[in-house]
Order: sequence, then structure tokens, then C-alpha cells
Amino acid sequence: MHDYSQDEEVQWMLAVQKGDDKFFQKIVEKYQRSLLNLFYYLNANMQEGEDLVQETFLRVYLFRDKYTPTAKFSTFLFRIARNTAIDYFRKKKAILVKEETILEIPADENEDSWMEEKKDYLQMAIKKLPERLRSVVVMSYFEDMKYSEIAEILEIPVGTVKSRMNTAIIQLKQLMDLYENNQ
Amino acid sequence: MNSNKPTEKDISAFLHDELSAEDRALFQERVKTDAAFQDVVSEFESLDARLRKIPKVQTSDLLTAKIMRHVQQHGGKKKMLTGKKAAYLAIAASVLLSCGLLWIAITLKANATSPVPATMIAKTDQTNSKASHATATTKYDALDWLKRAQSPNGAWEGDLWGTGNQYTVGLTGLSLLAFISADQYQQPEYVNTVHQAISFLTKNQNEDGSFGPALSNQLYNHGIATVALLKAKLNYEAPVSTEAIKKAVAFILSSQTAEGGWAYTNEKDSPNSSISIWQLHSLALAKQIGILSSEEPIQRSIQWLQKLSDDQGVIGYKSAQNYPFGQSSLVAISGVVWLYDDAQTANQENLIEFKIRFQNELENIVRMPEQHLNYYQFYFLTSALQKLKETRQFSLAKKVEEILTTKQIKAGDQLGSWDPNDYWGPAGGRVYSTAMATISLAALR
Repeated sequence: MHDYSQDEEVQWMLAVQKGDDKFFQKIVEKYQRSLLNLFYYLNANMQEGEDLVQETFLRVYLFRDKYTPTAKFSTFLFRIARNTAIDYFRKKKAILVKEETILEIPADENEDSWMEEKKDYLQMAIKKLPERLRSVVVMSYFEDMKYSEIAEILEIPVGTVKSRMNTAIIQLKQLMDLYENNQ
Repeated sequence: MNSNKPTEKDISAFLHDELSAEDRALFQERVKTDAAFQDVVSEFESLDARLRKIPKVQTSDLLTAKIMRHVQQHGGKKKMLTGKKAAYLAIAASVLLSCGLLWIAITLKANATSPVPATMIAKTDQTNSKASHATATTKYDALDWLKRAQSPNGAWEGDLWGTGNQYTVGLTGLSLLAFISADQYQQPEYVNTVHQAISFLTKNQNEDGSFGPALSNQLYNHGIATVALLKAKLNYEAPVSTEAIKKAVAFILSSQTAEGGWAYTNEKDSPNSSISIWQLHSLALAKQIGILSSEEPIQRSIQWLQKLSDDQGVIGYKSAQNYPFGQSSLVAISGVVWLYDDAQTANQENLIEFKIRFQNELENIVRMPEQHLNYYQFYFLTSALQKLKETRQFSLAKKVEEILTTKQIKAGDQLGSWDPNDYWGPAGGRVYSTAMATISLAALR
């Protein structure tokens, strides 16, 4: 079994646990963009995205005393991030009850994304995917996560990650055909 | 796959190198032997390649500082803010080196004692016959409108454009600045307009070096006119009398209070940041042009302004945390001051705090532009944005540019102008709104 305690980021977190906060800033600097990206594709607008990143890191910091390295640090972090997003969107849309549907909230069309200048059909298509497929795509393509790590974060079997990924690609292809044929 | 025959369900796993060695070999074998399967795999590969090229979202340069502050405030730690001082100093220094000073302040209204009587505020914009015919749409609609609105004596007259003639000097200075900022002062169609404006201002200089009527708020008119003439002189060798500029600068120096700021004249008033920003800008330009040799009055002014700032770096009106008209315009003014100061006596932690506050202000404007329409504030914001050069703020600047463009009149008699329907518009009038919006847009482009 892998000894995660030797991983660099885990070492940083253990240092934070001992009170050395400069390592917390290293964690923040390393992962803030990844988290912002995740929240962006979970349909947070720019301000919400930054707020969620802040909240995620705050939760990590508050959890420091209880932290034990049982997985890669990124797995631990992204699990907290996803839960932070679920809590946030649950509050935003209090009537929704299922996790899967909480993150299905469509992007606010009046809130332009901060990627607007670079927006293309593929990015639009990703945001149209059901959240269960979108999360898999984002973690795999933008975070280079292995299926096993994605499975751990989402708490689903690896086989489910594999099938979701395949379904996602098929749906993306269909959406792209739709967009590009209607140009 | 469990070593069965590979199917389309395995394609993503194959592309992500998630198949076992045995399954991978089986997969590759099928690709070789099954043309239809190969086609499907190719389609997946094509999309896979495109997905891998999508860039991640850009984070704000300030996000680390925001996060650390948030954790500091809510995570039970006393002090966590660290680092990036060198980076911020480098940003500030490079910005100042590359841009120089570009402060333009207008404050026909940003003062506790309203510079326009209530009767004037109620007065509406009169359509000047010279501006009543629309020209064909051009790239320079705003300048064309200003050109049409100019009176034969070279002035933009307050009485004709929704405010009072006591502000004619200030409005003329603003309009002159619009031509200079848009970098169009040397275009043949505008040269005469610009020269007439310069001529009007210099003819309206008093013996003591001041511009405009000797009212208590004279320093607004004076500061705007001085900045405009200095910039005209600095940007191109305009026919601006050096002697007139020297006298104007001398007037500013003689009006500086012991604290380092400037106040309303003709009354016992304490200095305020709104009037002072104009005078400070004039002195900075005078220093740049070689008319002012000493840095002392500039530094004294900056030190005084620094003392007025709150814990987020927002400079108060007359004292710290004094915001008689709200914080919006003062946040914008502070942006200009901080970016001047940080290259010299920078307090880097305060600068970071201020940049966060500044970004929040921008985000509020972008989120609710109708509630935050304030061309006066926009000018300072856009001047400061020219120097901040931060990723997130760059995209916010584009949004501000869109807001300004959307509000410009696209047809009719007032083609190219901006309705004076912003926060200060009812007092400033159409020349104010148009000149300020033009300068702001020029700063963003």
C-alpha cells in the first residue's frame, strides 16, 4: 500500500498541522487554479468561484488538526471542494435535495464567465453535460487525474468512472455536432 | 474490459491509458483489423485532442492574498499574510516606468459642499444647435460630438450643456483632455478644436495664475485646466505658454495647506482628497515636464493622503473613514494615489488589501452596472487599471469597456455622446459625461 505521508503536498499539510503556515500558502498557490477551474465547470460564476475556492481552503485549514494522510493530498482536497460546492449550491437552490441534481443548476446566463474571451463550442458543450459526467471530464482532462483518483473523490467504482467518461465523450461529440452544424 | 473483445466503451479508457497491458494489446489489435471501429476511435481521438488543449481558467493575481486573508480571518490564526512583496513591487515599478503618470481627475461634484446650486442641478441639458445634426457614424463619434458642442470662443459652456457657466473652465479642460487621451489631438479635423480650447483656457487665466472665476471651488476648475494644459504640452508641443503653466503651478503650490492637501478657497475649510487629487496630478505632471523641480510638495501631499486611508487602503474625503458620498469614487481615486505611491514608499500589505478592495469595486460595477453608473468614478478606475495589469482585472476592464460602449448614443442629435444620467450627470451635464466616458474608453483601449 502506498505511503502517502511521503508525498510533497502531504508533507506540506503535515507541516501546517504543526503550525507552520507558510506551507499552507504553498498549498494555496499550487491548487487555487485547479479548484477555480473545477468550480467554473460546476457552473459557478466568477465571484462564486473565488468564494468557493476561499471556502474550500478555509475548510482544509480548519480540518488540519484531524488530517491524516490516507490518500493523495489532491484527493482529499477535491473531495472537500466538491462538498463545498454541493453545500453552496444546496443553499442557493434550497429546494433541490439530491446531490446529483444540486450541481445541475444551469449557469446564470446573465453572468458572463471569465473565460468568455476564449469561449468555444467545446467549453460550452462541457458545461451542458450532466454534472456526473462533467466532473469526470474536468478531473481527467484538466487535472490529469487517474480514474482511480476520480473514483475516490466521487466515491464511485472505477468502472463507473470509465463508463461515465465514455458516455461524456459521446455526448460531447453529439453536442459539438449540433453546435457546429448550426453555425 | 476483463480481456474480452474490446468495444466502444473502452475507447476513453484506451486514450487515457487506463487499460491493462493485455487489454490494450487487444484493443490495438481490433483497431488494426476493424475499419469501422478504427473510424470510431479516430473520432474519439479527435475530440480527446481538442479537450486536452482547453486552457484552464485564469486566476486573479490577488487570489492567494484573498484566500490567505479569508483563512486568517476565519481560521483562528493571528497573522498569515506572507510574501509576494517583491512581485507586487515589481508590478508597481514596471507599471510606473511604462506608463508614467496618467491621472485625470474630474470632480465637478465630489465634494461635501455641492459645487452646483440646486437650481442648476434641476436644469436640463439644452440641445446646442451646433450639435443638433447627426453625422455619419464614425470611429470618433464622441470626439465629433464634442467638436460640435464647442462654442466659437473655444469653450464648452456649462449653461448650454446642463450645468452652470461657473464650470465652463472645468468642462473645457475635460473636453481638451478627451482629445488628448484619445490621441486624436493632431488629426486635421480636430486641431482647430484643440487649439481653440487651449486658447480659451489661457485667456481665462487670472493674474494670480488661477483659472476660472474666484469661487470657493475654484481649485476644481483650476486643477482640471492645469492638468489639461500640462498634458497638451507634454503629449505634443501644443501652443501652450510655458509662462502660463508656471503661474498655474505656482498657484497650486501657494494653495497647498500645511497638512499637504488642498481645500476650498475663500473659506476656512479643511483639505479634501477630491480637490487635492487634481492638484497632485498637476504637480506630478509639472515635475515630469521639468517645471517643478522639488518633489517635496508631491510627497507631502501623498503622505497626507496616506493618512486618510482606512485599513483597506481607501482614502477618506477629509479624514480617515470619512465618506460623505459613499466609497465608490474614493476607491477609484485611491487607486490612482496608491499606484503612484507604491513605487516609492510602498506599504505592500496595505497595497494588497487595497487591490482586493479595488477588485471588489470592479466586480460590483460589472455585476450591476446600472446601479454603479458613475463616469467620474470610471475615469479613475480606468486610469488605475492601466497600471494594475492583473489578469482578472484585465477581463473586468473589458466589461467596463462594454458598459461604456453600450451607453454611448448611437443615433440622433446626440450621436456619439453619453447621456448625463450617471451619479454625477445631473450636475455635470452632457459635456462632463461625454468627456469622462471618452477618456475612460481611451484608457481601456
